[in-house]
Amino acid sequence: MKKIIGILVFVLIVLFLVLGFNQEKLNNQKIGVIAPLSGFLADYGEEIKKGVLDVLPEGVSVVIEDDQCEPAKAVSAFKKLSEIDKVSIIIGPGCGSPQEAIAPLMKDKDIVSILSSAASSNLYETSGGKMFNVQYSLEDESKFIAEKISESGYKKVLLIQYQNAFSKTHSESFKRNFNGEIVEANYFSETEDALSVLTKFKNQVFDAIFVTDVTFFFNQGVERLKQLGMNYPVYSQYAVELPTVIPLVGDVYYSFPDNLSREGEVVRELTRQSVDLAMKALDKCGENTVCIKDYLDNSGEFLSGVSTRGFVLKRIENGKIVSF
Amino acid sequence: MEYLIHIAIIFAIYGGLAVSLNLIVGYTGLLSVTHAAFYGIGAYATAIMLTAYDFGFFASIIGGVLISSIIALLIGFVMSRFKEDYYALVSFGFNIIVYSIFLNWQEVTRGPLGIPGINRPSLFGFDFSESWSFLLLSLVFGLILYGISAFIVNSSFGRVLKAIREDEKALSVFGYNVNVFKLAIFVISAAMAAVCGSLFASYITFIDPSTFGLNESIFILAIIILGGLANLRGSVLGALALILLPEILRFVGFPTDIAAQMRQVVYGLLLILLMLYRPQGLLGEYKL
Repeated sequence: MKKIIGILVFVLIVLFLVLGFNQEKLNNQKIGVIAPLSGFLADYGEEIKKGVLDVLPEGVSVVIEDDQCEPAKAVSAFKKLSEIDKVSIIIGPGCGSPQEAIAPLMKDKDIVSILSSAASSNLYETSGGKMFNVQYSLEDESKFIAEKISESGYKKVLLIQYQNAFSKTHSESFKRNFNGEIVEANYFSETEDALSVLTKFKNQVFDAIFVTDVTFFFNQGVERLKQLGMNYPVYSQYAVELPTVIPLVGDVYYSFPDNLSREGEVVRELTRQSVDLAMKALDKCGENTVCIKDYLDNSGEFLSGVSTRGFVLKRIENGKIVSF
Repeated sequence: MEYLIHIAIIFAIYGGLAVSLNLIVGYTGLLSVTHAAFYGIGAYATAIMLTAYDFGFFASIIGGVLISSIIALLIGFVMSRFKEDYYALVSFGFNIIVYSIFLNWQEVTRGPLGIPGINRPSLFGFDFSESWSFLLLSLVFGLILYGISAFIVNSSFGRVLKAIREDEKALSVFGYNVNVFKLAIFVISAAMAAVCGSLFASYITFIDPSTFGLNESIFILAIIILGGLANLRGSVLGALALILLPEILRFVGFPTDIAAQMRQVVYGLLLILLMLYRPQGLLGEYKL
C-alpha cells in the first residue's frame, strides 16, 4: 500500500513538473507581480492576478510570485524578480507588511513598484521614491470618512477595528481627524463572531458606526447589529465593493476611489490601471528605471508617489451598489 | 547572486532555530510548540533596542537573549512539571499568549503596524549592510549555535537529556532532578532562538506579529521532524530542504493562473513522499 501511494505521489509530482517546465517564457517585455496567492488572503491576491492578466498585452510576459502576505517570503519574491527575472517594474506587493519589508530594499535596486491597493503614505519616501500607489493613502481615506460623518452632523461614532495593520492605520487616522466623540470596539481575532464585542455597546446610543475592516461583515456584523437593535448608519472603506463582500454589507456608505469605470471590481480595476501605467512606462523607457521613475513622477497621476485621484462617497443598499 | 545569498541567510537563521528546537524535542523528548515565541522575543528586543533606544546590534542580541532567558525561566518553571501531550498543550498556549502581547502591547511593539526601519549591524566601523557580509555574520552565528548544541548533546548533560527522553521515571529513581534539566535545556534553547530572532529582525529590517505566530512554531517543528529528531545534522538538512524547496518551485513555470496553487500542491506532495519513506526524518535517530 505504502509503495502504491509513493508511486502515485511521485507520478503526480513528475507530471506537474513536466507540465510546468513546458511553459513558454520567451517574451521580450516582462513585468513582475507580488501578491498573496495562497494563505488567508488568497482571494484578494486572485483579484490582483486577474486584473493583471485582463490587460496584459500580447508579447509581454508576467512573472507572478506568491508572498502569502509574509515579509520574509515577499523579500524572497522581490530578490528573485529583481536578480533572476530582471524585471524593471513590479505590481505589488498587495499587503502592508511585505510593502514595508520591500520598500527599503528598493532604494539600491533598478526596479520600480506600483501598488494597486490603498497603502501607508510613507512608502514612497522609504523606497527612495520608487514605490508608487495608484490608490490613495489609507490615512487620507479615513480623513475623508471622518469629514463626511462630521458633515452629516454626527457627533458620536462607534469605531470598529481589528488587530491588523490595515484596520489600525484607518483607526489612527480617523481618531486624528474626527472632532466628535469616538467609542472604540476592538476585535482581537479575525475569526471572532461580531456579537462578542458589540454586545458591550448595545445600551449606548451612537450617531453612526465606522467599520475599518471588512472582516466585520464576514463575521455577520450586519446581522448582529440588527439583532442588538443598533440601527445606525454604517460607514466603511472601499474594500466593501469586493465581489465577495457586497452581499454581506446590507446598507453601507463607503469611500471609493474616483475615476474607476467598472463597479464591483475595485481591486481588479485598480490593478488594471497599474498595469496600464507600467506598460506605458515600459514603452517609453524600456528597462531604464531612472526614466520609468521620472515618467511616473511626471505623469500627473501621483503626488509624492501617492495617487492624486479624489474620493467619492458611495452607497450599497440591500446588497446592491446605488448611485449616491 | 543576491537571491542565493538571501536564501542562504534565511537558511542560516532557520538552521539555528531548528538546531535549538531539536535540543528540546529531539534530545529531551518534550514536544514544544512555542519556539516562535522566543524567536519573536529576540526579534522584538533587537527591533525596539535599535529603533527606539539607539543600542548597537550586538548589545541588542544580548538584550534579546537575556529577556528571552528570563521569560523562558519563568514559563519553563511551570512547563517542566508537565510531560508528553500536556507539555505540548502548555507550550502551545504560551505561544498564543506571546503572540497576543506582540499584537496588543502597542505602546512598545506598535501592534499590527509592526516595526519598520530596523538597522543592519555594524562592528568596529564595519558595516554589515551588504548581503554577503550579513551572510557571513549569519553563518558565524549559525556555526556558534551548532557548536553549542553539539557540545551540549555530547556532554554528560546531553546524556541526561536523552535519558529523560527514554525514561524520565527511571532517571528520577537515580536521584536526578529531571525538572531542573528540563528547565535548563528549555532556557538554553529559548536563548538560542532569540539570537535567530535578532538576526531576522536586522536582516529583514521590518517585523510584525504575523511572523511569530503558532504557524511559525509548527513550521520549525516540521523542519526538525523532516530532518530527523535527535540529530543536529538532520536539523540543518531539514532547514535546507524546507527553505530551498519552495524557492526551487518558484522556477517551475506552471501556467500563470494556477502557478501558486500548483507549487503548494507539489510542495505538499513532496513532504508526503518524504514522510512516507522516511518517517523518522532524513537523518533521524528518534521517533516521536
